[in-house]
Amino acid sequence: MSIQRLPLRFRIGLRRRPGTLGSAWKQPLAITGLALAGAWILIVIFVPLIAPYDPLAQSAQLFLAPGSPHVFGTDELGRDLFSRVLWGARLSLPLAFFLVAMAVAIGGVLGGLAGYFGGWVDEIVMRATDLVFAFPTIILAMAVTAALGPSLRNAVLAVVVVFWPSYARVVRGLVLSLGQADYVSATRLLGASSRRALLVDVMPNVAGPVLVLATLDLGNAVLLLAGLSFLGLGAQPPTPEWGSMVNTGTQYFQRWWLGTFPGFAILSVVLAFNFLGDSLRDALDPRSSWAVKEQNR
Amino acid sequence: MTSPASAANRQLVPGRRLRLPSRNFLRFLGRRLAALVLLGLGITFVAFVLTELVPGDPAAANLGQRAIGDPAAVRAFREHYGLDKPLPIQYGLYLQHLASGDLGESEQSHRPVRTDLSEFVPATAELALTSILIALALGITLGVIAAVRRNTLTDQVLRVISLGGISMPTFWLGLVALYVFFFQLGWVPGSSRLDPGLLPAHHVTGLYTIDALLAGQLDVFGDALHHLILPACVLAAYNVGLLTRFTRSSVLEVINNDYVQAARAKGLPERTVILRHVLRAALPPIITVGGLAFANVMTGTVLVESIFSWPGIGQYAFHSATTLDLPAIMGVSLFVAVVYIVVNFLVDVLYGVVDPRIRVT
Amino acid sequence: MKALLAVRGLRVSLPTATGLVTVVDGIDYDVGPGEVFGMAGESGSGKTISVLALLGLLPDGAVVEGTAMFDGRDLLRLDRRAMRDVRGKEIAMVFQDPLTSLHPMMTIGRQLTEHLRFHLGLSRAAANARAATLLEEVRIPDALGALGAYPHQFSGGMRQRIAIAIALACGPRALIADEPTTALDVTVQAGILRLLDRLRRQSHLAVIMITHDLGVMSSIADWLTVMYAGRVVESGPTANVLGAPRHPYTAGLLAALPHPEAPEDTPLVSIAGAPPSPQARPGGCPFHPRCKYAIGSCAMDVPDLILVGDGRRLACPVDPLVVHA
Repeated sequence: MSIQRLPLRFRIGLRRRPGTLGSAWKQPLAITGLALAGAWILIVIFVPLIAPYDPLAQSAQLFLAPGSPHVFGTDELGRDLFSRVLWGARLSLPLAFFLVAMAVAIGGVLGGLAGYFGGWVDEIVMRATDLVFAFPTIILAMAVTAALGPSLRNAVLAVVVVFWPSYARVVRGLVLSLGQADYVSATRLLGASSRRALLVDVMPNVAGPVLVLATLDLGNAVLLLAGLSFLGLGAQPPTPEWGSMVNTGTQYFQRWWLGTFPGFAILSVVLAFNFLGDSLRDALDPRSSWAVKEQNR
Repeated sequence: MTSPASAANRQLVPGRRLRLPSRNFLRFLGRRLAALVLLGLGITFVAFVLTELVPGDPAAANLGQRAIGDPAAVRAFREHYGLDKPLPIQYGLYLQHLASGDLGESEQSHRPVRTDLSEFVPATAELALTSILIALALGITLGVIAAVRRNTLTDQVLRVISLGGISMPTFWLGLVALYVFFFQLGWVPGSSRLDPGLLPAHHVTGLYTIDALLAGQLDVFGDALHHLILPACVLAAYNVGLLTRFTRSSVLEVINNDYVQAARAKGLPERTVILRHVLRAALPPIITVGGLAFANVMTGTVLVESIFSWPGIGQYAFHSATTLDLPAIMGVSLFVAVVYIVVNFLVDVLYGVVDPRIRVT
Repeated sequence: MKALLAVRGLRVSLPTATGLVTVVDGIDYDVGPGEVFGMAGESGSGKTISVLALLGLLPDGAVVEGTAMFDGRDLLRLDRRAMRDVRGKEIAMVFQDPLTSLHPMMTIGRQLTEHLRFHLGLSRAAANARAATLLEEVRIPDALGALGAYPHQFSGGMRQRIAIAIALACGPRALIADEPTTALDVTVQAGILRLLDRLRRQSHLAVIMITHDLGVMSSIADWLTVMYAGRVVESGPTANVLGAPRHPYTAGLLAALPHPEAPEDTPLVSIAGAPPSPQARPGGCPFHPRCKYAIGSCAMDVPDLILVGDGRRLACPVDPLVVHA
């Protein structure tokens, strides 16, 4: 089946007003993402009530295969894996939110300053982002964490270091383009203060792309934290962090449940945020790839 | 008009002079090259700062037991790295060492990091290249399919698959893949680059597959490929997801352009239109993702090589991380970063090669 | 003179979210060899869609009715492969904007030779030779050098000449030119029109020229068809139609052209209202809401296109502008 599209400027597609959030929520992807993310957030909140066992209690037999009463089996120290996976959410998700919030704050402020003031402020910020981008993510995060000393706190710091430049670039670009936008000048000409211009005109346009990036980064944050813990640089035992649990799984290869379930948890969380972010991007950017277009001559 | 004779007498080589690179493009490349050098310096600075941040006495950490009993060794160490001198001088010494290729000594292997790296680079190079090739082939194909079958079920399925690809923790995927395909199914060997009974072919590139082909040893080639296939696919997963998305949006940008319709109006078959006209126009943005794809593969190797017992720099980095072998960590980071910025530069060059609007006036 | 292309009752409906919409509502015309056949009308009148239907370039889901006899075959009933053989080889097309209708990343030579080799099976050397000859015919300087160059290295006018060369490469018998000069400077326009005229005289090429520019029509078209809302309202020899329009719409179009010698403060005349969108066409004569000569029956009866003498066809029963001798 070939697509033989109307040429030139006359294209017909489904009718949909671009940029409306309302229509986005009807997409199955967005609903799935929302449901998954919601489920995990509920788990984070209610885990003390849900988890059947203490994640640190070495009470049962070692290396029990999944079954009852241990739904996911037990690990190398006899701890219930199901409870550990659930408690792992309480570790990874709040940290991911915190992390991204920090990166957005730092990057947003620096990017905004760079865009607004220009000059050497801009130069410094831009060179700093260049430096961070010159490293593949995990390499830099690995180096920073190793230098500071392996701990969850330092891993979080490393991920913030690696994430802030994207926001700096986005905010800077938006500030630069919007500062010249006619409607901002018009507002100011009409006498509104620059703060009002900032709030009413600039912020909504900046918020959109930043929100998309942040949602996607929530997933990336979970991935990177897990990766660092997998390398032994993040969470230290006995903390139930998903990445370090997968590491244990590689050591006891035949006990497949040790690595599979924590990894699955990571996958589902990241999928949820990626689905959400992708749907958000479609809703906010009418020209994006998976949105349906309509153009008339 | 013109007689057949004169037509035959003419030189029928399409003009070459109009195809030389424009000065603008060369200037652009020059700027990128300068940026590359500056960036290189910048990352050495970052690496230096990080090494300085490490708490404790580097001499003690590095020399370990010898530090206690051998003050001469300690003195030599401190001398070499200028540990008693002010920081700027230390940085200068650091740069000097780098310029001569000295990346320090690994605390684990007690060999120069450079030696360690040169031993492990070929394995990773082979893995990375194979992985990128697989990702390109699969990702671009799926992206074109998704674009051509836009908004059909195929497209939506591909969207979910590509999102899945970029959501997967690579280390977990490696583990699961190994368990399923090696442990349960036995389709692929579980570790290293060759079966214990086989020796690699004569060393030309260090890539076992290429060397085996060059030497005509097809059994070694087959075995090396057999060992290569699973880790390469695991590493490719993320990039397949990324490339599918990117190719799809790039093709969609292009497919409604007039020149595509004009190609159809010439009576060319649809397949030619898609492959020759659409894909070529969609290629430049996809190329820019190439650098990113490389970074992803590097990330993947660090996480995955140890699972497959693949003796590459990824496994080296992994072991250095778990044992906190700082010189090794810094050495690997520096090396990978330098390769990365060179790759990015090559991507810029490739972009110009593919899009004549940038290359030629 | 036997018509090269005879279109009868062409009706094209396109799929939209709200269902099929009729964009071209039943048009008839004949084009003879060596003739320049002009189709005029505003945006949305269906001119482009109707010619795309001839070449089978409509999107999936389009419904086409009617016949288009070309060389004894009905173009609208050809299968895909047969259609491919017609496109580019028997009937070729030139698009409006040469900046976007030439592939930016392929050399001119490649774009000239690829369908040459596909349709005619020429070798690379033969194809290149023919390509160079074509470029000379459309007056591109340094034809050989141009073969290796890229579109962005040429000016707009030259690019359109190249597009024409590409269209004529396989020696088609009909050329469809969709607004070929609209994107070009007025000074360059004349050159392109002269080129088209010379080429059609040389090889008896039939040209279907689509344009909204009546000036262009008057200078090159032998036959003029005026379209409105998917239907033909008037057609006939250009000189007759433009010299003495009989359909109110045609008259309105002409009146809207600013007269170069009118006094400065003469107000610009325009036709009140706007053309209806394909989804919202009025019943009866589609022009009646904007027509100052409309009578009661205009809102109910769709006027037929009938022969009214001096070779002209008219779709207006009221016929208010006819000059009685």
